[in-house]
Amino acid sequence: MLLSPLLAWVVPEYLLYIGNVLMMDAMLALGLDVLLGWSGQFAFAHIAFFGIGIYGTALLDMRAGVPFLLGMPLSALLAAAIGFVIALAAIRLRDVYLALATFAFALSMQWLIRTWDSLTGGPDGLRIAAPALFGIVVGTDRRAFVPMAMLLASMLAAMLHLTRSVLGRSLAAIRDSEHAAAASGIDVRRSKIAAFTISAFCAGVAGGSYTLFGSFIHPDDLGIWQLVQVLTMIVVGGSGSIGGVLLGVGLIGVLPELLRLAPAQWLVWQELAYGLILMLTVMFLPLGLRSVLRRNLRTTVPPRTRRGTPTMEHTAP
Amino acid sequence: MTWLGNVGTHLLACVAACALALPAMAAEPGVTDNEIVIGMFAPLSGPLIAYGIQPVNAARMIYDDVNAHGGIAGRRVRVVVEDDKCTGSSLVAAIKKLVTIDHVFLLHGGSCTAALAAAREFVTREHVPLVMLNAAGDSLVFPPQREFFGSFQSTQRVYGAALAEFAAGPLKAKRVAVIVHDDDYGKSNLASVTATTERLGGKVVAVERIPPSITDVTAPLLNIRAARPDVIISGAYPAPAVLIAQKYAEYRMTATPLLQSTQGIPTPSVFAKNVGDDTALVNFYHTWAFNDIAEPAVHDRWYGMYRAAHPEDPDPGGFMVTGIPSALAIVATLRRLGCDVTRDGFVAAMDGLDLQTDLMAAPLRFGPDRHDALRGVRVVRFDGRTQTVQPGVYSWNGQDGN
Repeated sequence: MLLSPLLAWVVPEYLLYIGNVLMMDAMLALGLDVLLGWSGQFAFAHIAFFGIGIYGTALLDMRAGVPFLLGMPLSALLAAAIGFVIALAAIRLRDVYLALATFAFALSMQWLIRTWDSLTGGPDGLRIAAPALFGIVVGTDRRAFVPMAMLLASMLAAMLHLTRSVLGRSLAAIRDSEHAAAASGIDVRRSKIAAFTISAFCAGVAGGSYTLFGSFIHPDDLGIWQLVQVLTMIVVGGSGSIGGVLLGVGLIGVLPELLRLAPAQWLVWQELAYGLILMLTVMFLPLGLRSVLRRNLRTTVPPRTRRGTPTMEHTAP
Repeated sequence: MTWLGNVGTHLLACVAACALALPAMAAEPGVTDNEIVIGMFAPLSGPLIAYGIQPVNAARMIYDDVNAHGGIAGRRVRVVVEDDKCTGSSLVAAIKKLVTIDHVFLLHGGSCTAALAAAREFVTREHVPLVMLNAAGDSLVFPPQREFFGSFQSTQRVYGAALAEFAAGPLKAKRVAVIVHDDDYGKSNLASVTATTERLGGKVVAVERIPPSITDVTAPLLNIRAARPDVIISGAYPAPAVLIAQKYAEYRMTATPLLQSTQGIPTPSVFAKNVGDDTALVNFYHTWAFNDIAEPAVHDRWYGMYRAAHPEDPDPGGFMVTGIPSALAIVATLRRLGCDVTRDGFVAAMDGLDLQTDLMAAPLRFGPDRHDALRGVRVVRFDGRTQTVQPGVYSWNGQDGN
């Protein structure tokens, strides 16, 4: 984060755009990982909360003149409130039923955005007015880069705090065994609802952050492909770990841009490459690439020096 | 080649004039003494790849041909191509790379209007001319945006108006049913069908708005049948268009003509094969913006040129030609600019474009108040095997549904 003002000054706008997208994806993936990696809940309404963050922040600014610094947290809180309500019903469900119910919610939210023309622009999409921060209009990648870095840093700090908190450890216990967690006095229901709410809040923040550098949003941008992409980032990097999620975001997020260097005739194989990466990771590295790095770290660094953030270690989700 | 003009005659004079003028010119991104760099982008991967690869190859064929004939005012055209996947984020990344890393002079690309719309602010801020490859681009050209030029194979307004005009004219239909998608394409199509039908004394008796991902069209087709229309106009995409044709035959509605916009039938033979029942096509018509079906000589010329330029792709599909008109417009405009190539000059020259080519059903025209190039299309009857072009060109008047 300390380097971000310098980078924003010297780096070409294309690279800053990629950086901004990666930081937004990181916030989105960290939020989903609270549900998926920390508490083992296969809930897929995340992309809907992301959409609430984008449309909420943009519309509050454009329709009601609510500045970004107020509108973004309000939208994230709205996403969290809806997440809380969804959680009340969803915690009764498990596995594929939970996945289907939350995915249906995501689809219905996309449908609502597509059909509520008068508010969201419907199928024409919505042009987002550039927000202002402390009187300075942002709206470009260069101006958005530092605020994005600050937002991501804040979320990372909050996540690190969460991993050390009672709630974080409760979620890890629930993920490993709900019955054992309940037997040891953890309020499973409350912890799951909290995870849902926090996850939705993070997605709302990620959505709100998009309005700092994105100028247009379309309902098609909130579909299943975006969800699959975030899931791939988490699985490839390593779920249940902040470092793993960041690693996955970096790898999967940068891959399409690296592929621009490849000959055009190779590009048609991109989807196959993504599928293979995901399949091979699930088959051979269920804990993600993070596990490889940790293994290598163990062989090169003496155990006493490996201190730092505890991660939500677990077997495959 | 006729459209290239007599390049050789003027080349020496132009190069000499440029040599005198160059020192006075300010440095323009993507323009040097020897070349003009054009940034192309299109879906080269993903589900919409059919709209990208062959049209891009066709456009490159035009630029290669220009280079083979001495370039434009002594400058060669160099093309940098990026994949946009037809998604907003990928398209914005591609455009930002082309402009800030590759420093191209202008942008030529885009097959999806919604994805293109995501780049509007950046393109406008950087004042980079953007000439659309084969996107309809309704939301970017109505109202006209200074830097955006497009709709080279017409807009949904044109398709809708043309089919409504054809229905009211040769088919003498008074009661029209419309089936369109619940997106920006569908909205534009429906608006012009409705306005044109009403202007011509007809009535829209049924409107069905369906999602592009629909897998069963039973209910919309039954609703349309109940309305007893004289004609059915469809603005559906390829997969739903196949479903509509199948149900239309299954419910024995084939006495009522089915009129389909271009986007639903990119390759007629594939469409017929997917429908799988020629009785569905006994009364079937579709729009087409090009003359390659009506005039075999035009077809042979352009497809022959493509095969010669891309021997690795000997069997191009019908969408190949959609990459040609925008490239022709760019070349014609750069030729008008001569040696004084600036972005502002290019925009001003494009505003005066009036290009008649043998390939298109109508002239390609722009003006300060008009950035949609093509306003006239042909209507083709297709029975599953043979395509028969109907007489005349059906045009949008620039007002219906706008």
